[in-house]
Amino acid sequence: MAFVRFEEVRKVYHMGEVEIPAADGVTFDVERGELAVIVGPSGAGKTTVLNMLGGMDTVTSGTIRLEDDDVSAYSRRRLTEYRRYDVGFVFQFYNLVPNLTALENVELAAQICRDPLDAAETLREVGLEHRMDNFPAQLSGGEQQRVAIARALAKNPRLLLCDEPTGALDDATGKQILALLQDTSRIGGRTVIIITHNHALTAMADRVIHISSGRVMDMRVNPDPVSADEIEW
Amino acid sequence: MHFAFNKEIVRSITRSWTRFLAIFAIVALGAGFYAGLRMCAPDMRITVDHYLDETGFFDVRLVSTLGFTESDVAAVRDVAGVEAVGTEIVADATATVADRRTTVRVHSLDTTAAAGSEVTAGGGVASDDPTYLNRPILMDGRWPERSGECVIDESKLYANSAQIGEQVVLTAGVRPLEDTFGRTDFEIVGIVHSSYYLSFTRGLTTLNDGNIDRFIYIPEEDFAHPETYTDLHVLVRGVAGASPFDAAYDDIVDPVKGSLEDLGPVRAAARLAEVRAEAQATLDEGHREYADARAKADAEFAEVEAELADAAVKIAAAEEELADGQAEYDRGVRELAAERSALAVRRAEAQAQIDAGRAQIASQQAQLDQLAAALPLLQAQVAAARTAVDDLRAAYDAALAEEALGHTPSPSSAELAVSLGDAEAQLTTAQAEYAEQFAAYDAGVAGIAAGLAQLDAKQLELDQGVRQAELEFASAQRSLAAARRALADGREELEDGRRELAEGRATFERERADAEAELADALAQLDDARVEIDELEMPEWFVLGRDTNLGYASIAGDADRIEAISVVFPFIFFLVAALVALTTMTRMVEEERTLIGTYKALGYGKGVITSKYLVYAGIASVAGALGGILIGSQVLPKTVWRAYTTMYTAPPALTPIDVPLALTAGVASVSITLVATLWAAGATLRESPATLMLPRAPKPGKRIALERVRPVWSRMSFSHKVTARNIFRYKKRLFMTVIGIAGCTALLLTGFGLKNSISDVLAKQYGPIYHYDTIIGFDEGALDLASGEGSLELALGDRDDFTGHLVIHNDGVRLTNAEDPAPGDTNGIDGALTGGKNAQTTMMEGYLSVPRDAERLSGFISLRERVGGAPVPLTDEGVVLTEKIADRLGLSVGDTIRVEQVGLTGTVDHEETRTFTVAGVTEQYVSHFVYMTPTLHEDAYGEVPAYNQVLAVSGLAGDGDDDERDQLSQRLLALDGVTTVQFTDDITSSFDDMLESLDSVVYILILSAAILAFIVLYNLTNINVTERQREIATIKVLGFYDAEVNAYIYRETALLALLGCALGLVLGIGLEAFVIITAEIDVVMFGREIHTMSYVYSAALTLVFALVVNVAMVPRLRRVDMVESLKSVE
Repeated sequence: MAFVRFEEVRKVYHMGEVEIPAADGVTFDVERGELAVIVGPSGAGKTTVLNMLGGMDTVTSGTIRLEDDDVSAYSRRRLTEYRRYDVGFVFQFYNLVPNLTALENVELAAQICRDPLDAAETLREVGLEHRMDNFPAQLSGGEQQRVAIARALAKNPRLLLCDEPTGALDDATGKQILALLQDTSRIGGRTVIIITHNHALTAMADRVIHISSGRVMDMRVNPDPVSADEIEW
Repeated sequence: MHFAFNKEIVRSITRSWTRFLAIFAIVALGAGFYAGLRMCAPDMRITVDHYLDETGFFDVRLVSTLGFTESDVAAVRDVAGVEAVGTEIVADATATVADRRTTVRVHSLDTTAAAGSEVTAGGGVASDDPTYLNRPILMDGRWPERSGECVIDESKLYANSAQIGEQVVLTAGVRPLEDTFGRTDFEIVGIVHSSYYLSFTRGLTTLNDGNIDRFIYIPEEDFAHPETYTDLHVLVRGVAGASPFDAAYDDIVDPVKGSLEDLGPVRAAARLAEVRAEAQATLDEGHREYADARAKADAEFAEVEAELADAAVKIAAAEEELADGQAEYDRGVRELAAERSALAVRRAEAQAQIDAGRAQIASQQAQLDQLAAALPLLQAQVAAARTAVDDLRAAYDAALAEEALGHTPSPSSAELAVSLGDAEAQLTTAQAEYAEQFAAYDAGVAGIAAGLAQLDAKQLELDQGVRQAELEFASAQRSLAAARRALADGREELEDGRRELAEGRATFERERADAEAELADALAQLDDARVEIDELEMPEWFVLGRDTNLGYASIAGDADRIEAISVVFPFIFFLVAALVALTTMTRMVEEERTLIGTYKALGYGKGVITSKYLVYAGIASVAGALGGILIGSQVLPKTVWRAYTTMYTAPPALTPIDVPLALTAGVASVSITLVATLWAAGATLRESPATLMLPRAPKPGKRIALERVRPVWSRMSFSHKVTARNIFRYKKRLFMTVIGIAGCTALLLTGFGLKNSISDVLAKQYGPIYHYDTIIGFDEGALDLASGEGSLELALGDRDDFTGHLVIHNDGVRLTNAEDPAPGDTNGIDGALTGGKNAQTTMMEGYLSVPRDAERLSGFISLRERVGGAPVPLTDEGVVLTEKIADRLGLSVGDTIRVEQVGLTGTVDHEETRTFTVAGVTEQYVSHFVYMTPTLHEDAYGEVPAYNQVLAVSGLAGDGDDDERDQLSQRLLALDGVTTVQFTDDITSSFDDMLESLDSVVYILILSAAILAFIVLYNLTNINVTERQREIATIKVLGFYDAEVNAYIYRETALLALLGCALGLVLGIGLEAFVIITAEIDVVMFGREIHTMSYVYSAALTLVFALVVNVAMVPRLRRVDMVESLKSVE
C-alpha cells in the first residue's frame, strides 16, 4: 500500500457566488522513502494539494491517507497534531521566525515534538554549524532555507513537504537545497514531496506527478533520477 | 483631485474600521480629556463669574472703621468708573437659631428691593434697583416684609436645623446688642443662598469659637443705626465683559480701586470731622446736661439742706416747749401736792373742830342723857306726885264725899285737902321741876341737835370741801397725767423728728454722695469722651477686591489647582495618542507598501501619496478630536464641578466650549497624529518603487541584553525568548503599550488613591488621632479654675455619660513662619486668605489649642508622627504643630512660628503676637492646630488660657443611636455655661456626602483608564496579529495548538501589560501625590497614603482590561489562515 494516497480529492473554494474547484478529483500515490515532485503551472492546484496534504486545509471530498491514517477525516485539533507530529514543512519564503536564531528556529519546532532530532545536530547536517547563533536576517536565502529544512527535519516527521523550496533562490543555491532534500530522502530514507512549477526538478525525482487544472495529468516513476547537482534549468 | 484616488482613500477607511477607530478613539480620548480637563478651570470661573454677575456681586467692597453715611455713598457714587453703590450693614452676633446656639453674621436687607427681585433662569437674581447688590437668592419661603422677619442661609453643615417659622434670637453681639440692633428676635420666613457666601465656611469673627456658622438677612430698619452703613459695595462700570479672573478685569477695576483709595482719606477726614462734630455736639450737650444736672442737684441739695435745718429748728423749738411743758407739769405736780397737803391740814383742823364739837355734843349728850335718865325719875315723881295728888284727890274727894256723907275719913278731907294741897304743891313743884327739867332736857336735846346739826353741817361742809378739793385734785391730776402723756408724746415725737432728721440727713448725705458720684462719673465720661474725641483717629477705608471674599478666593484657588492638574494629566493621553497614531499608521503604510510602490510607479508624487495617509489620519483624528472635545468639554467640567460644589453653594456648571482650548486640543491632537503619520509614511516613501514592490525585509532579530544573562536565557523556552526579543524589537509598540498601560494603571491608582486619601481624612482623624467623640463648648467663665470646682466640670465628672474628659482652650489664630515678614493685616477682614501687604508670606489659619492637663492629652488626641507613628511629646519647651502647618509654612522642629491673634473685625491684634519654637510636628487631617502647654501659654501671654471647650469620651459614637445622643445633648445643654454640644459622628456624616460626590471623579478616571487600556491593547494586539500573520501561520503550520498560538502572541501583551502595570503603579504614586497636594484645600490635609488594596485594584483592573482585550482578539488569531499567509509575501 502506498505511503501517501490521494483518492479523488476535491477542493472547492467559494468566492461569493462563484465556485472555484482548486482540486478537482486528484488521485495519486507516493511510496515511502520516495522523493516525489508535484509539478504544474501556476494555478494548477498543486499548492492546494500540498495544503491539504500538510493538514493546513481540509478536503471538500475524497480521501487523503498517510499510511493507514485518514488525514482527510481529521478534526481541526487532530489536524494540528498531524502537523505537529507527522509533517515537516519547507516554505518558499522560509517562514523563519525572525526573532529567533537559526538554532532556536529549529528548536522551536523540535520542542513540540514527541521524538525530535537534536537541533544542533540537524543544523550541522544541513551544513550550518557555524551559523547556528545567527538570526534569519543575518543569513542568506539559501542558508535560511537550510534552517527551514533543518527545522522541518528536526521534528523527525513522517513526511517532508516542500513548497517551491528554490523559488526565491538563485540557481546555485537552489541546487544545494535540492541536493540537501535529495540526500534527506536517499540517505535519511524520508519521504519528501516537493511542489514546484519548475519542470527541471522532475529529473531528480523518484516520482513525478503532473498536475494541471486541478487534476493529475500524469504520474510516473522516474527509474533513473539524476543527482540534484546535475539538474539544469 | 483624482477621483479614483479619493475613492481609494474612502475605501481604505471603510475597509479598516478598527484601524480608523483606533486613531479616532485615542484622539477622542486625548483631545477630550485635554479639552475637558483644561476647560474645568475656565468653566468653573465662567460659572462663578456668571453667578456673581447675575447676583450683583461687588467689584469693590469698602469697609470703614467709622462706617459710612449717605454723603460717603454719594461721594463714592461720584467716583469715575463707579456704576452703582450698594449699602449694607453687617454685624456679627451670637444667636439661638431653632434652639441651637449659633454664631451668625447679620446682614441688612433692602426689603423693597428684595421683594422686587426675581430669580433668573441662570440661577441668579435680577433686580430693577441698581443699588441692590450681593443679591441673595430666595430658595424657599418668602422675603421679610416687616420688622422681626429674617431669611437664613441654607446650610449643608446645619442641614434642616432651621425651618421656616422658627425663631432666631440674638443673644450677644460684639458690642452691646442694643447698640447694633433695633430688635433681637426674628422669625425665619425664607431660606436663601448668597453668592457672597460661596463656600461653606462663612468666615471669621471675634465671637465664640471664631467661626461664623450661618448668615441671616434682616430688614435694614431692624438695625439700631440704619443710617450708618458698615459696608459699601461698588459695581465698576465696564466689567461686564471681563472675567474677574483675567488681568483685563483688574485693569478696569484697579483704577477705580485707586480712586476709591484716594477718596478714602478725603472722605475719612470728612467723616472724622463729622463724627468729631457729632461727638463734640454730644459732648457739649453732655456738658450742658451735666451743668444742668449739677445746678439742679445743688439746688435740690440746698432745698433739702434748708428743709433739714427747718426741721432741726422745729425740733429745737419742740424741745424747748417740751421742757416748758415739763416744768409746768412739774410745778403742777408740786402745786397739787402742796394743795393736797394744805387741804389735808385744813381738813384735819376742821375735822378736829368737828370732832371737838362732837365730843362736846357727846358730853352734852351725856349730860342730856343723864338728864334724860333723870327725866323718867322726874316723870315718875310727877307721875307719883300726880298719883299722889290723884290719890289724895281721890282720897280727898272720897274723904269729902265721905265727909260729904260725912264720914270723917281718917285722913279727913281737910287733912287730905292739906295733904292734897301739899301733894298738889308737890306735884306742881314736881311738875314744874319736871317741866323745867324736861324743858332743860328739851333745850339740851335741841342744843345737841343744833350742835349736831351744826357739826353735821360743818362736817358736810368739810366733806364737801374735801370732795370738792379731791375732785379738783383729780382733775388736776388728770390734767397732769394728760400733760405728762402729752409730754411723753411730744418727747416721742421729738425723738421721731430727731430720728427722721438724722435719717433724712443720712439719706441726703448718701443721695448727695451718689449724686455727686454720678455727676463725677458723668464728668469723667465727658472727660473720657473729650479724650476720645481728641484721640479720634482718622478712619481708615479698606478698599477690598473680590479676592478678599472667602468663597470667591477659595473657588479661584480651586480653579487654579484644577488648572495645575489639568496641565499634567492629558500629557499621558497625548503621548499615548502619538504612539498609537505612529504605530497604527506605520503599520498601515507597511501594509500598503506595494500599493505605494504601485502608485509611485503609476507616477503619483510623494506628496499625493502621503496625502492619502494624512487625509486618512486627518479624518480619523479630526473626527476623534471633535467627538472627544464635545464630550470631554461637557462631562469633565460638570463632574469636577459637582465634586467641588459639595463644598460650595453655587449653581450647576456652565460648560461653554472654550474655543481656544478646544482648538489647542484639536490642533494638538490632530497634528500629533499627522506628524506621526508623516513620520510613518516618510521612511517608506523614500524607497524606490522597485524595492517597494518587493516584500519588506523583515525587521531583523536582535540579541537583547537579557541573552547575556546566560543562566536565565538558556532556561527560557522559545516562546519566551521570542516574546522577550519581540518586546524589544518593536520599540514603538513597547513604548506605546507600556506608557498606555502605565497611564491606565496610574489613572486607576490616582482614582483609588484619591478616594483613599480623602476617606482617610476622616478615618484617620477620628480613628487613631482623635479619641474623643464629643466636644462641649462652654462660656469662658463657666469653669472656676481657682478652685477647680466649676459646676460644669463637676457635672461632667459626676456623669456616667462620659468615661473621660479634658478641658481645653481653643482659639482661632493666624500662623506664619517667623522668618517671613509679618503679613499685612487688612486681609483678615473677612478671614479671606489673601496676602495683604506681604502677599508672598504664606499664612495659615489654625487654632491655638491648650489642654489643661497636657499629660492627659494623649487620651483624647494622639500627637504622633505620620510616618512611623512615633509619639510627639507636648512639653513646655515649645509648641507642637499639625503637619500641614509645618508643610505649608516650611517649618520643622527647631524653627520658629509666629502666632497672631485675630481681633475685632478680623484684623490682627499686634499686641498679642508671639513667636514659639517648634518642638514637634504631629499628624492631622482636619483643621490645623498649634498645641502648647498651659505653662508655655502663661509664659508667653502672661495668663492662663481661657478654657472654653471640653473634649469628652461618651462611648456613644459610632453606634448610631441618635436618640441617646440627643438626650445627652439636651442634658448637657441644660447645664449652666454649656453653649454647644457636638458629636464627632455628626461631623463625619456631613463629610461622607463629599466623598460620594468624589466617586464620580473616580469613575471618570476608571472609565478613561479603561478606554486607554482598551485602545492601546487592542491596537497592540491588532498590529501584532496582522503584522505577524506569517509568523502565526508558520507556527500554526508547525503544529502549535490554538492555546499555544494564543500564548505565543499574548505572552507579549501580558508581559507588556505587567510591565506597564508596574510602571503605572510607580507613576500613579507620583501622580496621585501630585493631584492630592495640588487639589488639597487649605482646611484639610488629605491622607498621604494609598491603601494596599488600591494598588491591588488598580493592577487587577488593568490586567482585567488586558484580559478582556485578549479574549476579544482570540477569534482573530483563530482566523489567521495558514494557507493564505504562506502563499507569498504581499
